[in-house]
Amino acid sequence: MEIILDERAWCENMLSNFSIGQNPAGTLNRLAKYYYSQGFRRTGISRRLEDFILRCNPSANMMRWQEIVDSCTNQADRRPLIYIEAVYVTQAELDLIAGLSGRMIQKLMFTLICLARYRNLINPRNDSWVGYDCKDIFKMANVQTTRARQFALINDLIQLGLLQTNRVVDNVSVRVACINDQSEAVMGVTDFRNLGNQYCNHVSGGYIECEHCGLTIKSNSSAQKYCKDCANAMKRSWHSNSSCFGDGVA
Amino acid sequence: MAKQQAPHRYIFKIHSTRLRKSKWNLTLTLSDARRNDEMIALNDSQMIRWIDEIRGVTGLAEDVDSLKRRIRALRRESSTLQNRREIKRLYAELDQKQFIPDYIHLIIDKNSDYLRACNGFTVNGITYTRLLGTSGGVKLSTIVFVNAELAPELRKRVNNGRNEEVEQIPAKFEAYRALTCSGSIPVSMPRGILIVPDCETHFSEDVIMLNDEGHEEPVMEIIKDYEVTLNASDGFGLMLPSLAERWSHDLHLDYVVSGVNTRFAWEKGMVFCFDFIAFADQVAGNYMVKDAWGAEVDIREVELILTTSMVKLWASYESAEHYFRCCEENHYSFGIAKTSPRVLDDYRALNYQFIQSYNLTDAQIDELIKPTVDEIMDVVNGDYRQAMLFLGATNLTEETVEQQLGRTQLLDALMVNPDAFNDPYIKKSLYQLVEARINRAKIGVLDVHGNYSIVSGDPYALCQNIFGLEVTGLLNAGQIYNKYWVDDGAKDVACFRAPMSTHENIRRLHVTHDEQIDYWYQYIRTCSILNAWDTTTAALNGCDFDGDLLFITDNKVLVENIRPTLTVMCVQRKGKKCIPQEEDLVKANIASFGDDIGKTTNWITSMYDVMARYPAGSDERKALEFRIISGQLFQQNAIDKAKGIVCKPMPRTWYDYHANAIGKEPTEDDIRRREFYLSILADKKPYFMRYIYPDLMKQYNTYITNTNAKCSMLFRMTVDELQAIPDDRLTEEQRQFLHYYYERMPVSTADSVMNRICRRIEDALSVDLKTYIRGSSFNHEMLKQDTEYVASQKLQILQLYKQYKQSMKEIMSKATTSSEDDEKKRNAQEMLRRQFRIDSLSVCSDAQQLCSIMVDLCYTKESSKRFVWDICGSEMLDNLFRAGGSRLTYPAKEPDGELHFRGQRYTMVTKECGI
Repeated sequence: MEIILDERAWCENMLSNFSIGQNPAGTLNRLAKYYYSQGFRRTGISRRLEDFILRCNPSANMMRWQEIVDSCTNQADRRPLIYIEAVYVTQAELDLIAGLSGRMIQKLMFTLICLARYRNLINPRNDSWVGYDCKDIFKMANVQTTRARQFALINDLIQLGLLQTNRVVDNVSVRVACINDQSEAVMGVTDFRNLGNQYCNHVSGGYIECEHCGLTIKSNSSAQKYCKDCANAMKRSWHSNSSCFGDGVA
Repeated sequence: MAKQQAPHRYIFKIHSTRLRKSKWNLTLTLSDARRNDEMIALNDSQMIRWIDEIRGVTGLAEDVDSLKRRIRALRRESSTLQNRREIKRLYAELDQKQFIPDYIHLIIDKNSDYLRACNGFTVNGITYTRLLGTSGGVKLSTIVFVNAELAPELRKRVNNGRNEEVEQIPAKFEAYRALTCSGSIPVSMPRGILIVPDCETHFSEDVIMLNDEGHEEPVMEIIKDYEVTLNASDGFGLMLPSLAERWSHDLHLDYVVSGVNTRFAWEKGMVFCFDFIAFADQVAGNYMVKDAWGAEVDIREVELILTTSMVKLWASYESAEHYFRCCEENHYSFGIAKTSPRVLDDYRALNYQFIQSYNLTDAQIDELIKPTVDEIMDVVNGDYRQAMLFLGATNLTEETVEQQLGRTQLLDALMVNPDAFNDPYIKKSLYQLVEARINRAKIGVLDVHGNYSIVSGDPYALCQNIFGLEVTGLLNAGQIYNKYWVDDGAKDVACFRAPMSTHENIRRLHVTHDEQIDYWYQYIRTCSILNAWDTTTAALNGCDFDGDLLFITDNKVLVENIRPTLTVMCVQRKGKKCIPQEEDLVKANIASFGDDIGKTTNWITSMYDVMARYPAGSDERKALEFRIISGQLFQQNAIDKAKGIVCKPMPRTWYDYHANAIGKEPTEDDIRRREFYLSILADKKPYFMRYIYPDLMKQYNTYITNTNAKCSMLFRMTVDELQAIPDDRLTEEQRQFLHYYYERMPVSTADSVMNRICRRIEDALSVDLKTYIRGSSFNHEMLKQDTEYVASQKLQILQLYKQYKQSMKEIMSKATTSSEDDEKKRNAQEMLRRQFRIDSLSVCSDAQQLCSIMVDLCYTKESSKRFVWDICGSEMLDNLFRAGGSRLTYPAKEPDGELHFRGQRYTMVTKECGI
């Protein structure tokens, strides 16, 4: 699951890199909205999506993509492109989080508040409900623990009255009951990856932002600049460059 | 059964959306069509034979064989540019021979598309026009279009000079026209054909009459001594043993058939082998009979007798002579669509429809499932010999073992080299089959001693009718004749016919024979003969004799637990007749699009589940029993929809919660009725059905995951743990949770027979098959020869391999919910395999070299090995055969054999073969 605050910039990036991403349906959906916002209508959107697929994978079988392209084209006008400068967390909310005992539960609460505020911005009638999969929430919160412990943490927050659930037995959405708009916004979140790390960095420091992708990671040394993935990618790129010139020609 | 002798033909099968998007003018290459799943293989039919004749196509089978031989020869030569080009050219020529550009199937996505398509469209420069919709096709919204150039001639031939002033029911008429498109093998013309009136019998029997005319819900009435008129020859005729012999020879069969399913002009039905000349000699003492038009015919000049129920439009002709003259003018040939088998199976699988209406105890269920569970466990235990039996090597002898080769790749591999059992691909494929078998067992596909056979009416009774004698037949009410069961010594058997819904559809019949029966039915060795004096055909959900199959078993549990019931008769309706024009036929097609039979059958199955919640004798149970019996009427109505008859569907209040809403000011009666209706609402599919419908399985699994998550969030325990708490110790909130947990469950988990069978199979076969696949060592070098190849070829094949994996993934990712989907998937895979075979041989034409490349690509990594088995399967089998010492190992029947399978004992035998 990927939360994107500026879908226009994200789409332009995907288009320039010819990357369809891990979730092709999600990418095509956003691109359809992007083209719609540029004034294209069904035929134009559909043709551009097909072009994009072929650019990403020239051997793609367009017949097999037809259904998904049609569905994305038909839904292009349903919702506008998302543009959110930042999701802000207020001082009162941070105080409330700080009052919880344990770093895990704090990171979880912070993540849920960010998600609730994000959903509220997209849909003003959302009323602070968060319906994401638990696995994704805990991944964003940088909380690695057993599934049983994850539910126990949520149960703790329910018992404290900070979360509410609905009565439907198979609906795992929770309502964040501690959103406080009266207090001053003190922390702006622009990246929904590693929200738990961002909270820890805000509270106690010791984290850095990857200079390449902006991901907040724990700093292991003062020389560290990049996250693991970016560092590996760079190493690979250096190797391929050096092998080109490795015979001393350069 | 007879095999198609003409080579497979290929046609385009295109969605109307695709045409619409291309503005009804599409350009499509054969290779693109194969990749896009827009091409299907077609069997030979009268229509194909006509198109070939008009186009002057002759000697196709020889040409195709010759091309295939040349390709095979080139595959054995070294891979040179010239050879690769030649192979590509030969494949293109093969395509050109097998592809029929004049005939196309169009899948209608929107009714408006259909109306537009009827105005004509173009594919690759050919303009197409509507020809007809076949019965099977219209259920799947598929219509046959043909080249506009050929259409007038084809329509003329289909019409066959009939009297066009005779009124017809459009939907039925369309189905009769479509008989020209059904797959058939041409055979020689019989020497003398007689068309006779059907044989009707009259008797009285107590029946349940269902009538839904003028009522919201059907009315059920038991009628004592109801006067029944039975068409005892509905859909069947007779052939002389000499004709049976000649046709068996035409069909290249090594036995003489008991019956064949024929196709001719407006004709469809079974003809069974019966010596009617001997009947004339010994019983009638007269050779002159009257045909359907009243003309006198000498029976000695006849080899084949058809009944008027077989020749659908016989009344549109002035005489038999007129009909046959038209057939000749329009180049009709006699075709065989189906033949009776040489022998009947000893074991066949039941399906849930046959079992669901029984009241069985747990012990009886255990007895019923035991053979299936034992058979599966034997394979799971990892014995390659049991695996061979599981794969179908149950009737092999030294003479027949080599004929078996080439039918099942897995079995071939094990027979040529038992070491292949450790091949990861073989093992994985085998366990996938086992897994599929386990899942099928969970939906009631249980092996029992029984078989399917083609059903016939009493031919003796038909002969009596033909010769104007009093019709008595040789079988009495409640009796059945089937040589297999006579030889088996069975006294009573249970008879089933799909689709069925109620217990009233199951018949217990007495197997009978005497000297006279044995004499007159001597040629009918593998078909069942029903008597002409009871309502068995009506009980078997409207069975007729035009090729219907009957499942017969002597399984103790199934025979002894049949409850005696009356036959359910439904009020018959007929469609409106008119002189059908093209618009009427198009309208009839549109009205028949879609198939509600499955839906109706599923609602009835759900009712069995709801019924299991209530005790016998309760009002709820009685109401559900009535609804289940009425289900037969609605099933019949769904079938009649395709015949152009407007019928009522099942009342929505029976299966839809929202349909039970009451007005703003309901009376007490309204409220009481609603409550009662909701208590017996069949709105959920039963638990076992999740193994049939992938969507339902996903829904169920998501529900279980989410409810467990919610339960853990609320109570710090899983649903199972919550259920284990005694009721008096539950909090109000927990009790409510459990209440809604059951209420919102997407499947019904009541203790119906089928759910109980499913759970017992789940318990008995809860094995982790993955553990059996892992951990065996296999030397893949035995799959290839020591041939060298160039790295660039390997790279090109690697690209194809990646494309192949992607394409297969796309096909497999589509969920299957019906046998049609499975068929579609299989066709798509076959088309893709063919295309990749051509592409691979264009890279490397030496098949053994290609095999080595592919084995190296697929077997050195943990990736899919299916590519190499699909493209170079025969080469790998050759290599395995050589590595295994050029011998075949197979299980053969042996009274003291060490292997047990389906009540037989086997021992392993080895046959040395020369290379």
